[in-house]
Amino acid sequence: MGIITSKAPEMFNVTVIRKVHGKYVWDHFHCHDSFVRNFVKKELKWSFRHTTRPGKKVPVNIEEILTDSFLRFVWTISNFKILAVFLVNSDQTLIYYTAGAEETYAVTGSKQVEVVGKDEQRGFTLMVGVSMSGAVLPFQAIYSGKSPASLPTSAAPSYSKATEDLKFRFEYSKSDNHWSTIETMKSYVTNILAPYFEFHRKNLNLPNQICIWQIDCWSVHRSLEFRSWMAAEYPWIWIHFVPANCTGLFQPCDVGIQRVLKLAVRRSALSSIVDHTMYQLNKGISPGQIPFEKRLPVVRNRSVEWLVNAYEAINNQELVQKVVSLI
Amino acid sequence: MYIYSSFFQAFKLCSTGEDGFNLSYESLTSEKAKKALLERMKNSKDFTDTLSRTGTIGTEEEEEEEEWVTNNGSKVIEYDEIDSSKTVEEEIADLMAGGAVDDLVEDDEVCVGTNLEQYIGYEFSSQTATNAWMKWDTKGSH
Repeated sequence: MGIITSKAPEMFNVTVIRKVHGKYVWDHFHCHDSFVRNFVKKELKWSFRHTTRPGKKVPVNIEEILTDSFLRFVWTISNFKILAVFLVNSDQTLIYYTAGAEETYAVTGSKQVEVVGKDEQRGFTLMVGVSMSGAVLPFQAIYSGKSPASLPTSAAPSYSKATEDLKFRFEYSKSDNHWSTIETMKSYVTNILAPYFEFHRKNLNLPNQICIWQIDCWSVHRSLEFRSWMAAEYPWIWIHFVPANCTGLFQPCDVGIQRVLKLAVRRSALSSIVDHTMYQLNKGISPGQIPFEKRLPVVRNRSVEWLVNAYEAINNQELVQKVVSLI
Repeated sequence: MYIYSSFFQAFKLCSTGEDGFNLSYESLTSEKAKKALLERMKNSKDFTDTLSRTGTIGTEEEEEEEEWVTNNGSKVIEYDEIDSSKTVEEEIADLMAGGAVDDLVEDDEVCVGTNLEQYIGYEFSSQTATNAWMKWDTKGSH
């Protein structure tokens, strides 16, 4: 995109007619990912080296399972007079530093494929929480590594905004991978979830309010150790598990948040790559010689700004009003 | 300070199916939901028993592992179905409307900017790719 922006910006002015929600609208040409995938497959005979992952099997009695889960919420809410602000769903998702860090396109049938950044750690885990009333809780980002040196530094763009204004937490996993652990889960509850609930308990003068936390059936969540810790430290936070293999249907973060958030992160990351490419082109470097920055400390630091941009993008009231007017 | 957004809509999108219930606060506190709860408790002791465990409510089954392996041993990847050509605004609109613009692209996008040849000839990293791209047509009708 950086090359196109620099060499042939007119391409972005090609006009198309699109059908959106049943209406035909004039628009600029969008190079949809599906267009690119079809193009490289049909025209260049390129294909991904890996196959598509099969979908999760949905339980046969799905409606009964979801209705029972719904009725358990009804029971807890009606018994403890729980307001919408006291119900939070949290979910973790993987954010890639670079799209397709382990996968790449190659001519179909080729045996050796070089992948940029293959040996780099691919990304980090982002814990996202949203309340039934629409509050987005501060993010918790978990990076692989065994010391604070594995975290974004205070010199990272937007770092103070992320940590001081938006109260994001950057934590290291104490291991070689970036997945959330029982320690990071405890930290999430102590530093993000409980303070959120306590803020509203105090604000609404409901000091003994029972609260609901909906999470999926991931093994750490279900572990006796974590549940015992929750019961001992936060007996007023009740856990409701999303029925197994139903996260795509009954977990709000999965259904309506992560996709928008990931798109916002990706667009922010893409924007920085385009800026970098155009900067190089303007310096006279030929397109084939433009280096892509993939050093872990650099992309890790950049991730802070992506998260801030994404958080602000999804919380933009003006945007929300505009979106509502489109529907 | 907590920022509020339209994302309470995400709860509304979590539907139980034909019963017409969803995870919105309105649905969870409706009279219809309360009646359904009483009915379920009356007819199923097993269900009622699941309510008595203070602090943790829900099933105990484990979620399937995220990573899969194919028969030939290679790791399987998942497309996240995110289209980076979309704006956040478009994505939220699709989400709230319950449909995806991207689903319509192949059938409904009609390129009317036919004077595309003028863009051929710039120094792209792959001239072949560029030429093919310009000549390519999603509907095969040009």
